Amino acid sequence: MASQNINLFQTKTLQPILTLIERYARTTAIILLSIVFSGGLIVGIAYIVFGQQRDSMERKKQQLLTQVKSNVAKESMVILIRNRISVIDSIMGTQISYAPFITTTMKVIQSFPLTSFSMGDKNSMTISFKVFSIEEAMGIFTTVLDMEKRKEITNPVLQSFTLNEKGIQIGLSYIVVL
Amino acid sequence: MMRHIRRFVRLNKSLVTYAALVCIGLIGLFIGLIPSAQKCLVLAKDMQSLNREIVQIQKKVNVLSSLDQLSLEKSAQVVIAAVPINKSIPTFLSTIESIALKNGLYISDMDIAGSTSLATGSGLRQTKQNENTISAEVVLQGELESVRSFLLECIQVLRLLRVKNLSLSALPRSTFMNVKLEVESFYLSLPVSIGKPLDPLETFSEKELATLEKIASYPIAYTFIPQSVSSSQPTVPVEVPTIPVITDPFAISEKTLIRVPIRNVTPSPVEILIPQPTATMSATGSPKPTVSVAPAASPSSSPIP
Repeated sequence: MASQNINLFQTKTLQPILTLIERYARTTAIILLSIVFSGGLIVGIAYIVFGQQRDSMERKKQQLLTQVKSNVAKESMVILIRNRISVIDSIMGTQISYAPFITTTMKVIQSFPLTSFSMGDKNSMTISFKVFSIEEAMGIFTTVLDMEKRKEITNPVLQSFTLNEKGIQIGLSYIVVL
Repeated sequence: MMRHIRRFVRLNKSLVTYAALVCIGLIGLFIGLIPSAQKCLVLAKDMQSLNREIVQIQKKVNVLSSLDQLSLEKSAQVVIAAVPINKSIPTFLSTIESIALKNGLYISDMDIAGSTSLATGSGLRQTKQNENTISAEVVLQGELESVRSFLLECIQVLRLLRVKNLSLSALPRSTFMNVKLEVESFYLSLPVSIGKPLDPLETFSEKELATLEKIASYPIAYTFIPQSVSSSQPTVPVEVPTIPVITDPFAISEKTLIRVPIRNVTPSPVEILIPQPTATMSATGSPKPTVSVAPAASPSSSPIP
């Protein structure tokens, strides 16, 4: 079959591999360029938009920081108070009120003179006091037993009982129930 | 060689063109698009972190604006009264003394434990917060009921006290008790820093408010005026002069002197200063002040009339 081409110069390659490569190169170039252009457009728009937003956010942040700085006195006071409150809490947690121990002792001895008072571990106490007759001593013991029944004290122990011409010296120990 | 290339280009013109376009596309992709996309991603991440910061600062601003300056100052004064910023021995002693006197006890002995500096390095730059205690062994005397009231009140006053090692003994031939106890008090220096502006700030919790309320209900037992925490309320309203007005209290001031020219004196007229009569002097009818000047160097001088 005779060639339809009137050109004497050979303008097209006759190698089929180059034709295949050309076809792939064309497709690749179109895809690549469209990706680059469209991607560039999208990235450019996003960059501008993000940049503007970031600038406005930066401005807002600076405004807020200015407000924080203007309230620095309040902030320092809040920190001071909070700091001290935690310390105060721990102090109050370790404060022991000895008043209930005295109250219990006053209930035990009633109006008789207390000679000594000392405190031991785990709310235990030892007291000594003076009464002037056996009846009064019995009254005290009754009171102690009543207090134990009411769970005001536990483990009452008569430590000493001394009778002489000056009166009766009684030593008692018990645990105060708080 | 060039002839071959030219021939190849001429024969595969479209292939070369597409290849060149692919190259341009690749260059655009790796040099332009990918770095720009990475920058965009960084920008987006920046915005996210910025947004978080803004939310945090906004929250802080809301918290700060919701707080009342005056109530904060009052609360600060209360907590400082409870736990002073330094040892403040006067308030410590004053607190113990006032509670004892109020309850009819008298202090027979008081011993501040250990060696203690009266100032807490106020001129030194603080690098950490100091939390410490000061304690005293106190011996009190009084009725048992008074002792009970004292012990009850000790833990319900400002400044905060803690009683330790209590022991009682009866005084001979008396209803009075001898009470020996150790009283401990606390101090805490001011916070060293207030943190960064971005640090979160929470409002007071219910527990903290309850503690504040409890502390505020306690009376201040001492008579010593605490230092103000507010910059708007200076504790020293009157400015104390730092330079003495008069260096020599016995010197006659310039205001009380009048200048009298001496004309009839040779070789040259001089001015001498004589005391001006005061109001007291004029009220008693004192005569016009005169002075006689007779310089030894000038025999021709005459007394001033």
